[in-house]
Amino acid sequence: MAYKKVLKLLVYLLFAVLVLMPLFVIFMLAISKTWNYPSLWPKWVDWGYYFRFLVTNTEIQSSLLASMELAVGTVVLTILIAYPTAMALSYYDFRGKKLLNILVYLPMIIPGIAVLTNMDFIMIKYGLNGSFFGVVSAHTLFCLPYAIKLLYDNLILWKDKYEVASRNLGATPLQTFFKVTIPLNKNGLQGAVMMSYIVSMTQYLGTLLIGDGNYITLSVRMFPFTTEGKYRIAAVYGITFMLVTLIPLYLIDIWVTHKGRKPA
Amino acid sequence: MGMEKLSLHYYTDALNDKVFLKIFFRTFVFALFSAGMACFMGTVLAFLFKRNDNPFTKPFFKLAQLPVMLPHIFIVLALIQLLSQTGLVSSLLTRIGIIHSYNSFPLLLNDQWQIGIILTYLWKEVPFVIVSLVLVLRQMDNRYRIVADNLGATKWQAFWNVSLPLLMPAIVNAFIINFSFNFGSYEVPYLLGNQTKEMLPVYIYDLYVQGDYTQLPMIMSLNLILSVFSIIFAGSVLWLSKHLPGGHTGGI
Repeated sequence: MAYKKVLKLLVYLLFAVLVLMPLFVIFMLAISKTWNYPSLWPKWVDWGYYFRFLVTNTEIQSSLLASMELAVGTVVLTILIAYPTAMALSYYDFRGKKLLNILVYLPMIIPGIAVLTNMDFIMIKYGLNGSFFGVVSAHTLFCLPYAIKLLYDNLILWKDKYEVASRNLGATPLQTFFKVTIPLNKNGLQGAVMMSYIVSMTQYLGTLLIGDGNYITLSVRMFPFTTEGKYRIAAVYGITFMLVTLIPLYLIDIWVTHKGRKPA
Repeated sequence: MGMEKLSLHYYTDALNDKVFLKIFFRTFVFALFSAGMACFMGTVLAFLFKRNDNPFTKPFFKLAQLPVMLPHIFIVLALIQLLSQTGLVSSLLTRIGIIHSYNSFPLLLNDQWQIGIILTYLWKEVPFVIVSLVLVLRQMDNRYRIVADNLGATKWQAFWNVSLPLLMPAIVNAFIINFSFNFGSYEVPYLLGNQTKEMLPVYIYDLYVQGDYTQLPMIMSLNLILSVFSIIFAGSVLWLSKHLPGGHTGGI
């Protein structure tokens, strides 16, 4: 038994090292002045460099703003489309439900390069390339399968029993939605919002192609720096990306669990 | 513009194009292999993570969520710093004396065998598989396994005949998602790919960006071939998973 425990611990440790190593390397890269072959450790570490860069560099600030704008827009549009779809799929039986179920997953199955080059062509045709709506709708397309799946899995647990009861007791549809559906479906909604935020933040090709260079987000800006060998600046963008992804998600997580603990 | 007739000759051209078919096949094998690896490793790790009695399980589950949240470019950057010929691992090996100079460190990025791309995808997708399976595993009814134990099944039998089939739908879903992503995503093959062993997304992107207007029907037909192929592939994987012995729909 002891032997087995040690083995398990080793696997855990290996996993932790493999996951954390890249994060650590990028963190060190962002605060080191020179770190070239064959030194194992940066010769010069400057802790203030990162923050000075963040405050003085207008490029990174505009990237941050572009990322946030697109992410918020994508989350809103995704939820607006995904919520009714998930409710329809989980509550009702209708003609073409099976087809809709398959259609929902298509953006995950069709290769990204095929979707995006065609989408770019269509956007140019309708004059939407480079517009906020164009980029947000491209991001939304990739968020929808995740959002609908997460909401659906949660909604199917209770179906519409409680909504029916609430309507029966005289609540308006809006009251029912905000006082019954959303509180019951909190976990699904949280998952859908988080996943849409992540998917939008990490998009590269969609933002670049359809954005026509108007939306240079953090992940888009990391690209040229990486190919040109400016690893330090790329790492600074990487750290910023981590901060703006992990902190909001962590806050949402705490907020939701905290709210859940309150007696109703 | 001279494009007023309907014609299928772009499709037949594409299907007769040796270069396209070669790249297509290479990318398909690559996607199949990397997605399969990710699912296998993810499933094994998920079973280690599922027990709640272990004090390490919770922090490690949180850890597994990290790679899912970060973009591919992030891990690519770290891999370049770590595994390139003048990277940290190479420095370490030189320091210890295993290799004499960075020239003798094997080429792991931009190499012929797409090792860099596979490592990137594994780093992103193994945690993805873990996260999606652990959620299912925790909700899964433990009673089936207990019944199997009670009826005299060995641990291996209980895993193979009870737990795994119950988990199969989730594994198959994760496999299809990973496969489609690896098959059709552009950025990682562009950054870490080898020029002589081009991958399909890079090939199509280059055609799209460099090609002129007359090339468009050609690209659109390639895209459609790709899409139809992916849909058929996903459908047949789903069908297979339902009809192979031991791979039922979950039986719930």
